[in-house]
Amino acid sequence: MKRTIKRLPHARVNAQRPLRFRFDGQGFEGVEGDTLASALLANGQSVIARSFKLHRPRGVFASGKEETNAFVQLEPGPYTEPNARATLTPLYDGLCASGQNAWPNVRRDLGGCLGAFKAFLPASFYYKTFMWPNWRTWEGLVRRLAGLGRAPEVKDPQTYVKQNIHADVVVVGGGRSGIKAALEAAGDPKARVLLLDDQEELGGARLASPRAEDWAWLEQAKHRLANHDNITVLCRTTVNAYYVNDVLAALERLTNHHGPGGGEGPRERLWRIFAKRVVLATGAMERPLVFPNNDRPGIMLASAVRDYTHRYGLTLGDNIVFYANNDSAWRTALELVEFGVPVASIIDIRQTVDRELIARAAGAAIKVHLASAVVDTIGRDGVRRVLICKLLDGGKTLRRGAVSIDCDLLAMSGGWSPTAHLFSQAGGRLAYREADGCFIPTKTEAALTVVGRANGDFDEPLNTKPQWLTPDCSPSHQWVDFQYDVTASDIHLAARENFVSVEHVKRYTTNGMSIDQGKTSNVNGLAILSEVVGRRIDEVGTTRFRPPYHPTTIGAFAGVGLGEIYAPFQRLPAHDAHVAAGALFEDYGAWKRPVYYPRPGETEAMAIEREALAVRQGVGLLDYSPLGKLEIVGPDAQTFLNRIYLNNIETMKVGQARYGLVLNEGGIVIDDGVLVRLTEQRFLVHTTSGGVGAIQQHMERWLQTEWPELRVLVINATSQWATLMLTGPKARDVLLRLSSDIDLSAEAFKHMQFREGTLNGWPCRILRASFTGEVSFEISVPARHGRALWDALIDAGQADGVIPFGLESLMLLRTEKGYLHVGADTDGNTMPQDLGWALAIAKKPADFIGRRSLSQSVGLDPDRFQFTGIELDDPAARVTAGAHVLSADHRTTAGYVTSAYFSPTLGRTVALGLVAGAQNRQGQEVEIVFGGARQRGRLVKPGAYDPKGEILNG
Amino acid sequence: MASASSAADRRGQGDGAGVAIDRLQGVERLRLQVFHRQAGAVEGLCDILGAVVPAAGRVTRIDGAELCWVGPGEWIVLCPPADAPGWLELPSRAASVCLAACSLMTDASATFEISGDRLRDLLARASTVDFSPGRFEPGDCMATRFAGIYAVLAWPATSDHVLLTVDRSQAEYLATWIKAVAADL
Repeated sequence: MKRTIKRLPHARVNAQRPLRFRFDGQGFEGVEGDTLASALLANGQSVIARSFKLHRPRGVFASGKEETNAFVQLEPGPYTEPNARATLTPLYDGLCASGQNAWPNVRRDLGGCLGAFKAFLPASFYYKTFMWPNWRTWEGLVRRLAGLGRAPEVKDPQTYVKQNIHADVVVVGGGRSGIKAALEAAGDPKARVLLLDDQEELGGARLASPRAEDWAWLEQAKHRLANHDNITVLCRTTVNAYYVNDVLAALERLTNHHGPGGGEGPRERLWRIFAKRVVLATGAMERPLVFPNNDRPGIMLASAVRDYTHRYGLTLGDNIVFYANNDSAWRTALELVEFGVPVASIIDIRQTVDRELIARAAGAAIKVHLASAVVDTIGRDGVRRVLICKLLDGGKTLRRGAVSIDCDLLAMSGGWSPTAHLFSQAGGRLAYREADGCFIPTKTEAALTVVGRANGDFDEPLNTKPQWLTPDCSPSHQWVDFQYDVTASDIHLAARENFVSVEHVKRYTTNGMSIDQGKTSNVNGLAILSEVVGRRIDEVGTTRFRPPYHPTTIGAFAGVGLGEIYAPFQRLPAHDAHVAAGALFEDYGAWKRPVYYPRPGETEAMAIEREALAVRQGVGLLDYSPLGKLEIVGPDAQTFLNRIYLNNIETMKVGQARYGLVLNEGGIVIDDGVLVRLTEQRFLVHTTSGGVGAIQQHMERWLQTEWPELRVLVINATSQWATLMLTGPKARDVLLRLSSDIDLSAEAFKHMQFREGTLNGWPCRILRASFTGEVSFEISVPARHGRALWDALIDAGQADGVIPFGLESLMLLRTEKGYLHVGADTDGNTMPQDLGWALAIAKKPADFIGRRSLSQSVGLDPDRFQFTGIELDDPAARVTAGAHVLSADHRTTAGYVTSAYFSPTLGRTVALGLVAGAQNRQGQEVEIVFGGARQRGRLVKPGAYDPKGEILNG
Repeated sequence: MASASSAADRRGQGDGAGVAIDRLQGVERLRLQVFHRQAGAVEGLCDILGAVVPAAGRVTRIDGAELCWVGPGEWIVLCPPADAPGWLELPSRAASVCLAACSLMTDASATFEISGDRLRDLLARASTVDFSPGRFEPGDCMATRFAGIYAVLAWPATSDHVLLTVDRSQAEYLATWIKAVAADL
């Protein structure tokens, strides 16, 4: 690659402002306005990267998003960014980049020897090889040798934001067509127009024009845009995704161009754009030609040569040769000569070319080789010569005898493809246009229009004559996807192995996958497939493009949602008290809840067993605030709940509490809890902590869609009340130490009763229900008093050794008692009869949701998985939830353990499970398997602790 | 709603560049519900109330309280503590014309006041709702997802503050989230 000493005078760079940068440890100098790619080219750097699989030396291939070679590791340490396209990285002072996938560096890479083994590394070789002894043995080696950049290993110190925006018209692409579309839309002063462009400045392909009239047009257009208050222009913004309902995602690079830590504010912003109408003015991309060794450094797209010459002012070679199959490359070559950059030759596969172009080429002293094909390229770190042959039979065969042409830059053009990625993401259909050898947008249901070159409206005729593959040459060194080292032979192999769908071929060969997303390889790949399988290109079709169009920083997806606010969380009213008590928190839904309160040196098991034993022997306090609390109000509240719950609600008296089950229409148990009748027309319904939202929606759905005549209101009071569970044989003694107007005596306040009154002067509700098997008081006060109530009960319980206990300890206690936990001890098939509720179903006279399903044959199957206790023969044996209960054949599963803990009270493991036909198999022996170990046990009635319920009624 | 906007009642949550966020104190929050599927129920409630409750998407000041529409037949009432008993008795007074319920939700919720010249930017980072001028103005109200949680956003007609009401248990999360976002505004 030729080093540029002096930039061309018409370039859009500030040659007076030098910028220093480093690449692979070497210092260089570029100028303001350069990209990293243009700066490296200006310094004569030809090898910038190594290919993914074969470590072939690669140079700059394009000048924008379509670049498939020049990926670099940008910056070291916490600011490092892998797979940064050098063509899209604006140069800044102090930029530091390095090559990827190479050792010791990209210029001299030991991995380059893999090229000798190319024949053994065809497409998807890893599916067929490295089988012995197993893939894992080889995986590390393969992953080290194949790959791109390295992900950062330390926290990114930069910040990112996410923002939503609404617009009436969103124009994607700030080239000539996009600017025109934006100005046209802005003619309606009420329309909010958003113009997005991924380059550093507006202009699109105009930025590569050397002509003063184009620059003047651009300046005038910018001025007109600025005069419209209803146009918002965002440059450095790439639209990466087009979702349903015309929602777009775009990444705005806010401060990247200042370098690490440079600039103020966030590094990037991820826009979620809600558009009423979208105009895609995304332009077109030039395709490479497929010929032997077309991937050498020094071979690049003709459009890139135009960019680097006119926009960045580079003279890339002394012997520039063009290789084309269409007119646009000729115009580029002629323009180069016009502005002082000599072109040696134009090789064209076409037999005939427009006479005017031929004449102009002759006038520019360009040698012309028509009906010729490049059959090889020579050069180690850069192209030095090309070998060409004459094409015969309309391009189907080659004449023997190659001619060598010296060149230090080969500019190729295989035609143009409209940039239709977003159109395809929007569900739009593409149609093949034979005349230009490209796919163009046709139909879409989205509210979008495509304009300009993106719509196949090229300024001047291309007269493209496709040549998808060079004939009479081995396909094994004709590259199609440069990034992934996919050659034409790989596509041939896929077809031989019967991968004939373009979607399958893409995945089998990796053609068009990953960073590249098929920008330059897609059409060539499917056209080669078309030739191999003997189907027309329009029959083969294209792959469906999917987001993201261009890689998006993961940090931008996260935005501020990191660390503590990674996800929304809910805090208990007495959260600080739990922190002070040393609680270990875990997430239960969004709630941060104490799991247990470990003491120094305690393991989880030790802490849980200590807490459970303390509750059994004394008293414990649990923060139960997330317990769902819905109030059902209205003259039809009883009727409504009688339909929602399996239980008979009509017999409930005011002040009475009753445990109930909620079923869905399929008869499946979806929730449980204690209902309380507050007044004749007001009920308090407790739900599971995680189920309150779903049950409220369930109720509203039935009220609003099925029973709109029922005069009922549903009120969610969950967060209004802090609820603490005081439980244990000494619970009443502790509670009595607080002042209250409620008679708390055992005689006056029995199990499954509810009282309202005051406690220490706070309004309170107390429910005598038990989930531990001990005497329990579920005490609710307004949430603001939750912390005070906690402190008061802890103080009052000091004499009795009250301890705070966590949810895991509660789970142990309820498992000892045999209480089921919906979600843990039930699954998506569990019906109430599986839980022993058949009698309750039979006794309820009224209809309820799910009842019909219970009587279907599936519900009557005696081998349904039914809720049961499981007792292990060996008291010292341990088992855990998820362990399988085996059938009589000792091989197949007959159920599984749903809850299991070691009970410090009973001195053995207590377990619950769902086992086939368990209700008729009580006492039978079973075998339980977990982690390879087998235990023997038998099915027993749930509730090993206090089976008669004498304790909780105390 | 003098007490609601009194500076003395506010507890600062932190200011970002261009936005000020305060957690509103000294205000009772109530949930007013009416069985709206019954013909004339809402109108009957209005007769008893002596005022028209806000329509969908609106917030209205009635007797010193801000009524925020949150759904069909449902409003959040932000009022001075002294006025709360009157609101809580409203369903009883309206019992002859409609089924209504008014329940305290002061303990169940938290309200933030947000203001400043970057207010709309802050809102746009939290919700997909269109907050641009002309689309969200004083007098507007909505129940929506805000920073990933359910929230009620109300912009009282005569105020430069937007009121943001969320579940009490999520107030700490929201305050932390807003601080993080405001830092980059």
